[in-house]
Amino acid sequence: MVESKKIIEMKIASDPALLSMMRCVVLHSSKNAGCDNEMAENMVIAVNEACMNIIRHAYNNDSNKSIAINVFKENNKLIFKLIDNGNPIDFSKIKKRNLDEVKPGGLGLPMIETIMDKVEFSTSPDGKENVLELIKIKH
Amino acid sequence: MEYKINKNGGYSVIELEGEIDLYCSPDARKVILKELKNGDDMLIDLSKVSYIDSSGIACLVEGYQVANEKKVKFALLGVSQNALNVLKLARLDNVFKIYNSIDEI
Repeated sequence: MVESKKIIEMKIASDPALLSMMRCVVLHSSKNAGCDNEMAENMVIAVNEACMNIIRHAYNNDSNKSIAINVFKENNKLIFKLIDNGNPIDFSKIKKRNLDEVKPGGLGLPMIETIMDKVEFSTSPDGKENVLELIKIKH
Repeated sequence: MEYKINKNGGYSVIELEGEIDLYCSPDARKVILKELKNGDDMLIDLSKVSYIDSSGIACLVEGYQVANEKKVKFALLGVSQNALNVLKLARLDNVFKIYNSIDEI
C-alpha cells in the first residue's frame, strides 16, 4: 500500500536572499525523512536549482512572487513538489544542455536530473500554475 | 559572502567565503572579472565556501574563459567538499585545474 505523508509545506517569496533559509529547511526535512548526509545535501542542490530556475525564468527575477514547496515521503520515495504562478513553462524551450561544453549557463536542469530519479513538469488543471515534481527513490 | 584578495607568487588569490548562491554570485562575478583586468594569473580559493550553486559555478566558468582569452592562468585552490560535489555534478571538476594548496603549484 502506498502511504504518502506530507512532511513540509512552505511558501517563500521569490527572493534570492531567502534561498539560504529554504536550503536549511530542505536539508533538515530530507534528513528527517531518512536521507543520509550526502543524499540530503544533493536534495538541497536540486531544490535550490529548481527555485533558481523559477525565480529567473518563471518570475523574471521579480522577488515579490511566491514559490510553494511541499515535501512528501511516500514509502521509499521523497517527493518535492514546487508550485509557482509565473510565466507558463514553454516545454519546447526546456533544452537539454550538453555538459561536455564548457559554458556558464544552463547547468541547473542537468544537475537536477543527475541527482533526482524523476523530474516532471506540468501545469495545474486551471492552467494558472506551473508544477515541478522532483522524485528521489531511496535505494 | 565575503572575500579577500591577496597577491602570492605572481598570483592574484581571491578567497571566497560563505555561500555563493544566486543572491551573491553577481558580487563574486564582479570581483573575479575586475581582478582579471589586472592581467595577473588567478587562483580562486574555495576552501571556506560552504555552498555554491550553478550561478556561482557560472562565475568560475566565465572567469576561466576570460583568463583563457587573456592567456593568464586560472585555477581553483583548496576546493571544499561541497563545492567539489557541485563541480562534479556540472562535470567541471576535470576542466579546472584544482590545487590543494599554493605549494602544489
